[in-house]
Amino acid sequence: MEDALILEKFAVERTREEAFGLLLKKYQQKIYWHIRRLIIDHDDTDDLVQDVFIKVWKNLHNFREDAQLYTWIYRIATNECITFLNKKKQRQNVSLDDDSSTYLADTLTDTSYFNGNQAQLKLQQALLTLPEKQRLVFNMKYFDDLKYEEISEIVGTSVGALKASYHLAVKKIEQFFEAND
Amino acid sequence: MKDKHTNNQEGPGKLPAELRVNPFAVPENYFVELTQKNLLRQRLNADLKDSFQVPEGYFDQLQDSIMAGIAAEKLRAQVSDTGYRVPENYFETLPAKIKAAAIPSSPVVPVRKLGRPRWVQYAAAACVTLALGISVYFRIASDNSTDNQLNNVSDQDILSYLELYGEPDDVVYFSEFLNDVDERYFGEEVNDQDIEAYLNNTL
Repeated sequence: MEDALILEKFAVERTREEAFGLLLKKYQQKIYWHIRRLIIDHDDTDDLVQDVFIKVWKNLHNFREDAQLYTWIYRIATNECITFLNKKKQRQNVSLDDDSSTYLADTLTDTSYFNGNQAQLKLQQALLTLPEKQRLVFNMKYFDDLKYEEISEIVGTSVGALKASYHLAVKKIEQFFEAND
Repeated sequence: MKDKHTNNQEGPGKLPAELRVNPFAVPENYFVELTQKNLLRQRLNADLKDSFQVPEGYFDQLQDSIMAGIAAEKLRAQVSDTGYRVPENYFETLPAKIKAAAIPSSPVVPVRKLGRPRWVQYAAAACVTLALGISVYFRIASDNSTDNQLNNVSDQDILSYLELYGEPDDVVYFSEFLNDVDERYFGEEVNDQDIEAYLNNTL
């Protein structure tokens, strides 16, 4: 279903719920995995996915079609994740200036819905050593295969800076794999 | 004399004179057009060269991009999935959960304001007016009642009261209002004995 058609249906009160259902069907999994890769824990992700789509429901009438619908939803999801992670840092007495994600390492080992192999676990561990911005960019590029222009629209950073972040992230992960072979 | 169309520099002794003439010809104005063509091509090349540009620092970043791409591909060959899982049927039940949280369960029914009959407003105004009127009436009536009640008290009772409860200051108080009293009627109904008895008891 084309985004334009979903938006058209959402604009009409009679078909609004139907349009929202179609939007959920189209984007729920992408948004879930985007959040899950950043938050790690399934239950926290489940809460955030709901928060994101509640915001989408409340604000979709304000959505301007000069942006892509999915980048707009990704942006909401990304902001929700950053807010959540900052709160989590505060709860765990981690300084907000400390931009690595090592405080999530326990969540990775505790989470009940992880059954990846050694290599998958190692990649996730490597990702948690990265600064949050690099982790975010790496996930969107590596797993979601988004273009730099799309990522730029989502996180509000220049394409050049995003490329540099991604290259650094890959280099660090490579080094992590070499060091932990 | 050397033919202008030949490049033979050796002089007349080497080739027969009839061969010393250049047999090739060019189209009319060929060399003029050739010059123009060359100039145009040169300009086009210069324009094209200027029109293709790369972002600043592109070539510095290009190597990093290529190396990162190769490293990512190698990594992808080892790990292409996160390894995270979701509970069974999670995505089947998620839309219903989100809809329940986002969309109010029952549609909001607009409340229609019913017009009150006009007589209710008039009746309410009448009630308020009546209540105010009654309270004002009783207030005025209570003010008048002091004089009325005093009129009903006999002089003897007043004197007895003053004898019992009067104080020396009362004389001063009365003396202040003495001039306000019409002397013609003052003490008309009080006999001398009573006045004397009062004065004996209070002063």
